[in-house]
Amino acid sequence: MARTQTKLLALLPALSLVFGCLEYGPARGPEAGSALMTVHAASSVALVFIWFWIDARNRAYRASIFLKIAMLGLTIVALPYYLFRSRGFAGGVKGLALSIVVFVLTMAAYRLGSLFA
Amino acid sequence: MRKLLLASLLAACAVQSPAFARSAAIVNDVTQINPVPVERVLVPTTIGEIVDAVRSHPGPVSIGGGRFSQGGQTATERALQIDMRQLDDVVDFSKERKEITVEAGITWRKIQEYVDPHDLSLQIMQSYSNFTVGGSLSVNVHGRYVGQGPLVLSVRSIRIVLADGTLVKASPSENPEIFYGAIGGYGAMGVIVEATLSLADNVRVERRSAVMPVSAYRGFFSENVRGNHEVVFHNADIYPDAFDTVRATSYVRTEKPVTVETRLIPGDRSYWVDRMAFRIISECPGGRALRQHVLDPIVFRGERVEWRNYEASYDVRELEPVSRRNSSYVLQEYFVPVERFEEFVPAMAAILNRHGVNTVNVSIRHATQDPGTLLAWARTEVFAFVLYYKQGTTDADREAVRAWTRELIDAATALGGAYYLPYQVHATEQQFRAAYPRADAFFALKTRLDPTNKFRNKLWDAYYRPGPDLPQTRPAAKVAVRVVPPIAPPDPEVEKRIATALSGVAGYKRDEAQTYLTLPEWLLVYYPDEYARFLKGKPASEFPYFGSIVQFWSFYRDAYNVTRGKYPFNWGYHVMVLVIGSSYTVENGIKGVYENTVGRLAEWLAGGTMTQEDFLAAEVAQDYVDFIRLEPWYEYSFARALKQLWAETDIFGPHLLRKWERKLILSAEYLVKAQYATLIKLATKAAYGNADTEMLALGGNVTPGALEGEAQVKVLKSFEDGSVLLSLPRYDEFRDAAQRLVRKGVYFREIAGNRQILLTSVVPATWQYDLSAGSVLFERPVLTDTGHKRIAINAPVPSLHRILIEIADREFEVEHIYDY
Repeated sequence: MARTQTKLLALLPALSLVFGCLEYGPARGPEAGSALMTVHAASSVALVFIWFWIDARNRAYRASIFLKIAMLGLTIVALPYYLFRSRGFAGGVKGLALSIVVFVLTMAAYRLGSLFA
Repeated sequence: MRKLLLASLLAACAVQSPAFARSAAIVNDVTQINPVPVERVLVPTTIGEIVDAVRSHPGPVSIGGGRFSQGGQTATERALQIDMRQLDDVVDFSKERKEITVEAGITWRKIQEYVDPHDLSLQIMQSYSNFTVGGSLSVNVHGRYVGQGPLVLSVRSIRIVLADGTLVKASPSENPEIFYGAIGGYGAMGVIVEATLSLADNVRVERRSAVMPVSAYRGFFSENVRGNHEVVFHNADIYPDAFDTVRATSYVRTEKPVTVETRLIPGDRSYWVDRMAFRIISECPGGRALRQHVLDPIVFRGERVEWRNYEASYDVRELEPVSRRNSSYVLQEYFVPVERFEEFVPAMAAILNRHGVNTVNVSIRHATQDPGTLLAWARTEVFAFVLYYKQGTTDADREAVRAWTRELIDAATALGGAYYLPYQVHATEQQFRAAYPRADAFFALKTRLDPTNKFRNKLWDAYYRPGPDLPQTRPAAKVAVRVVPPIAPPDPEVEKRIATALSGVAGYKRDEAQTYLTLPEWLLVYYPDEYARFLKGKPASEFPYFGSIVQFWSFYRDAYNVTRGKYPFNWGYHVMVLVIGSSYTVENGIKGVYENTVGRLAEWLAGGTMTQEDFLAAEVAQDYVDFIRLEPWYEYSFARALKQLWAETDIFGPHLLRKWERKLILSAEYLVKAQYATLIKLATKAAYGNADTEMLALGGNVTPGALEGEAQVKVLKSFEDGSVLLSLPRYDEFRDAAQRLVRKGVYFREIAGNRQILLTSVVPATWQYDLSAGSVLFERPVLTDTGHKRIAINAPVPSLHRILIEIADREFEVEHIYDY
C-alpha cells in the first residue's frame, strides 16, 4: 500500500511535466479555461484524494464526509488538517514538509516541461 | 462666569465689535437637511446692536434662535442672520407677581434654573427645554399642559425691534395688533428681543398611565383630564403602525413625597439608552411592537412622583440620532378640533401606512382656543397630533415626504384643522391659506410694519407676496428642496400610456434598491484595482489591508442604511454580499498579518528589491482587475496564475529567500483561490443563474446622430412623445455608453423603470459637491491615495445627464454607474 501511495505522489510531478510540455507547446502557455488546464487540475486533485483515501484507510482514520468534500474542494486547507489529525503534531509537521516538497517538485516538473516544449 | 468666558471668546473672534459677526455662513437647522447660505451671521449681546443692525443692513434680515425649526424658518439666502442665543439674560423677576422678564435668546432651561429655587415654574413652554424663548414665541408653541394652549396665553408683554429700527412694547392691551402678529409670526414682523412671562407654582406631580383603544380616548380625556384642575401635564401616544391603541399619560398634582429627588433633569445626563431605543423602534423589524409591548410597560411601571420643573426640563439630545447623514428624525404636527378626533386618526393612519412612512410616534396633545394671534393654529379647542418620523435625506426622500405631507394637510384642513408651520415647507399656498384663514390680515400687517420686506426667511419666501416693486420671493414648491428640472415634465396622460406599454416589456423593471446594494460588490473591484496599482511601485506589506476591510463594511453599512425601510429586504443579495465580504475580510486579514510579519522580514532581507515573483504578482493583480471588470471574479483562472508563477520565473536567482518566500505564499494564495472560486462558481450558478447582459432605459432626444457608432445601443421601441426604449450594455460598458450618449444630447427618463441611480466618482479630497443635481450619499478617502476620495452620488435619473456632463467638465472620472 505504501508503495502505491508513493507511486501516486510520483505521478503528480510526472503529470505536471507532461502538461507543462503540452501547455507551453502550441498554446504558448497555460490557457485559462482550456481543456488541458481542466484535465490537469482535476487529475491532480484526484491523485491527492486517492492518496488521502488510501492513507486514511491504512491508518484506520475515520474521515468525515466534510473532510472528504474539503479534500476535493479546498485541498490546500484540508490536507494540513488531515496530516495533523492523523499523525499528531510531529508527524503533521513532517507530513506538511513532505507535502511542500512534493508540491515544489510538481511545479518544478511543470517548469521543466515548459522548457522542453 | 460661563457667559463671561464665552463672551470673551466671542469678542476675541469678533469681526465687528462688540457683536460677533461671521461672514458667508451656511445656516442649518437641527435636521441638517436645510442648509441656507447667508451673507453673514450677527451674534448680538445687546438690544442696541440689533437696532443698529436692522437699521443699517440694506438686505434681508432673518432671525435664529435654537434652530429647532425644520424648514429654513431662521434664514434665507444672502440675509443677515441675527443669532439671538447670546442675548439671554433675565431682565426682571417678581416672585410675588409670578412674572419674569427675559431677553429673547434665553433658553427655557436657563429660566427653569433661575426660578426653580423660588419654587416657581413656567406656566407654558414646550416639552423640551433647549428652545429659546424668542423662537418659541415666534412659533407660538404649546406643551403638554392641561387647560392651557398656545404659549401666547402665558405672555404678558413683549418688546420687538421693527423694520425701521424702532423698539416697541406690545401686549394684549398695548399695540395688540403687533402682539398678536408677532407671536406666532415666524419673524415676519420684527425681532422679538424681550418677553414678560407668567409663572406658576412648581408642584409635585404623580404619573398615571393607561392603555386603551384609540376609540375610547376622547371619552377618557373628557371625563378624566379636560376639566380636572389637578392634572398638570397630559399627552397620549398612538402606537404605529396599527394606530388603534393609545397610551394616555397624565401628571397629576400630589402631596406625596417625590420618588425622583432631582428638581431638574441633569444637564449632563447621558441619553445613549434613549437614542438606542429610538433606533430600535425605527429601524429594527418588530421595533414598534417591542416598544408597545415590552419597553413602554417597563418604562411606565411603578409609582413616580417628581417636580413639575423636572418633567418640563427634557433635553432634545434624547432624540438625537447618531448621524443625520443618510436619514434624520423629523417632526410634523397637525391640529384638529376635538370633536373631529375620531375622523382624523384613521385618515392619518391610512396616509402614513399607504406611503410606508417610518413613524416613530404620534403624540396627542390638547390645546384651548387661541386668544387672537393672526396665525392661530388653535382657532377652536383642538387636539394636536405631533408626528415623529424618520426620513432619508436625498431629494427623492424629500419628494416622497412632500407627497404624503400634502395629503395629511388636506386631511386636517378638511376637518377644520390646521398644520404647524415650523417644519418642512411642503404645503401649497392654497393649503397654507386653508389652514390659516387670517393670512391676509397677517400679510397686511407685515406690509404696514415691514414695507420693504426686510424680515424674511424660507417660510415667508414661500407664501408672502410683497408689492411688485419689492424683491419677490420664491414659490412654495421650490422651498427647501433642490430640484433642477432638466427636462420638460411629460404630459401625465402620455406618461401613463408609456408606463402601461413599458409594463409589458419583459426584463424592463429592476429593483431600485440594487443600485445601492451593488456598491459593496463593486468595491471588490476597486480595492483589487488599488492593490494592483499599489504593487507596481510599492512593497506588498505597505498596502492597507485592514483599512480596506473596515472601509468595505462601512460602505456596506451606508448602502444598507439607504435601502433600509425604503425597499423590501433582499435576502439573497445580502447573503451574497456577506459571503463575498467575509471572503474579502478573511483573505485580507490573513494577508495583512502575513505581509506585516513574514513578508516584511523577507522584504528586509531582499533590501527592498523586488523579485521576479513580486512583478508577476503585480501583473496577476492587474490582470485579475481587468478581468473582473467584465466577468465574475470566480471565473478568473488562478490555476493559470499559479502555473505562470512557476513556469515564467526562475527557480534560482537574486534574493533567493525573498524569491522562494514569494513563490510559496503566492502559490498558496492562488491554490486556495482557484479551488474556492470553483466552489463559489458552482454555488452561484445554482443560486442565481447567469447574469443578464442587457439594460433597458427610457431615453429622450435620441437622434440618429446620437446612435452613430453605438453598436451596443439599440432602439427597441418609440413612443408618441419622442422618447424611446433603449437597450444598453451593462456594467462598465453601460457607464461608457451613458457618458457618450449624454454628451450627444440624450437624456434618460427612467433606467430599468427607476428614477434614482447611484454613481461613484473619485475626486480630489478637498472638493465639495457643487453639481446642480444629485447629492452625496457618503464619501470615504481612497486609502492608497490620500489626495482623493470616493464619493457616492445619488442621482435622479432625469438629471443624470447633467451630473455626468458636470463631472466631465470638472475632469473627474465616473467610476461606475450602478445599473441595478
